[in-house]
Amino acid sequence: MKSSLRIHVIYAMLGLLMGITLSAIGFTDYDQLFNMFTFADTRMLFAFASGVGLAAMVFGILHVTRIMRLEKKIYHPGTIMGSILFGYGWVMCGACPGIALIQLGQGKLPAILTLIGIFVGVRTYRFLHERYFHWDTGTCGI
Amino acid sequence: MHGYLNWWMGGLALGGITILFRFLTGRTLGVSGSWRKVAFWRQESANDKAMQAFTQNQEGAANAFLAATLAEFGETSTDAGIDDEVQRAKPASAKQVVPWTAHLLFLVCMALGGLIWAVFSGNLHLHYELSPIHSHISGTFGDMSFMLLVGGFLVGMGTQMAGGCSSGHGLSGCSNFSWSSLVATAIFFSTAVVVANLIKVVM
Repeated sequence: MKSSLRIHVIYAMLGLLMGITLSAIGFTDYDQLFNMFTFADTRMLFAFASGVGLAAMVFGILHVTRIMRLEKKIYHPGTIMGSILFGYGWVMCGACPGIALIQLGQGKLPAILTLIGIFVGVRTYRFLHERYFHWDTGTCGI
Repeated sequence: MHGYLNWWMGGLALGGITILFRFLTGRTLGVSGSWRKVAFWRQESANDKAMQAFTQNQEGAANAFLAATLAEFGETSTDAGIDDEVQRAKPASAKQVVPWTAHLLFLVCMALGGLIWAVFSGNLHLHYELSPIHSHISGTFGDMSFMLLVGGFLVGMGTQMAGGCSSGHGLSGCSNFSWSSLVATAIFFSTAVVVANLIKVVM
């Protein structure tokens, strides 16, 4: 039970950190996002790329020194199709799954509609997946 | 003018969170995975229970094995080797189950983080539209609602299908040099770039 509490505290803390950081960078602001995709403003693009670069450097060093293994994600036919749907949806609603929640937290009421859409989408996919696709998807390494 | 972090501070923060998440949880960062766990909380909590019983049984089995060894060979046999072996086996076999409630808390606290930022940056008030550009693109309130619902649906469906989102594939997958994540990130990003530029041309 004690370790369960520890996990909850850690996840809560990381959630807060994510919410504050993504807000402070501007990923919750559709104007900023749209300007990133049209390359009118490359600030967030560089933020994202340098974040990946920093983490890649640390994980790479830990991998080479054999302290930590790299976590590989599974490739399957849905990777490409799903990414296309996601990219299209991202421009329409201005949110990836986490962003919609943060937008709601900031008082952006339309995000409720996005959240409904995401919830239905997640459930619909599982339904289709079990019915028709049967791909091996290791979603986000959980 | 807009009051957001500049690019390198944003990069430090994003990279830092990705690394911190890995160190604290032993797992890779991914919001869409949390979404899946929360959206299917009933199935997931059953899975959690089964996994927990399994890991506890494994620990129990290791303990029983140790006790049996003690009974058979006496205290001296356990001085070095077996104890070490049991200690080393533990973290690997008992990879802790993350209950779905922790994922729920993660999502709720993200919203809370948004609220905290809004309070401290002086942006705390109710918004009835997403942003000026979004309203300009979508037009009426009805059209905007339709765009958000359909867009959200595509995001939910697409991220589950692709097995990750901008955090799972983009941040943690790419920084782990995962081939499928590099492909996924390149595709969802370029799709978004194409769609956004098309909209810009039409508008």
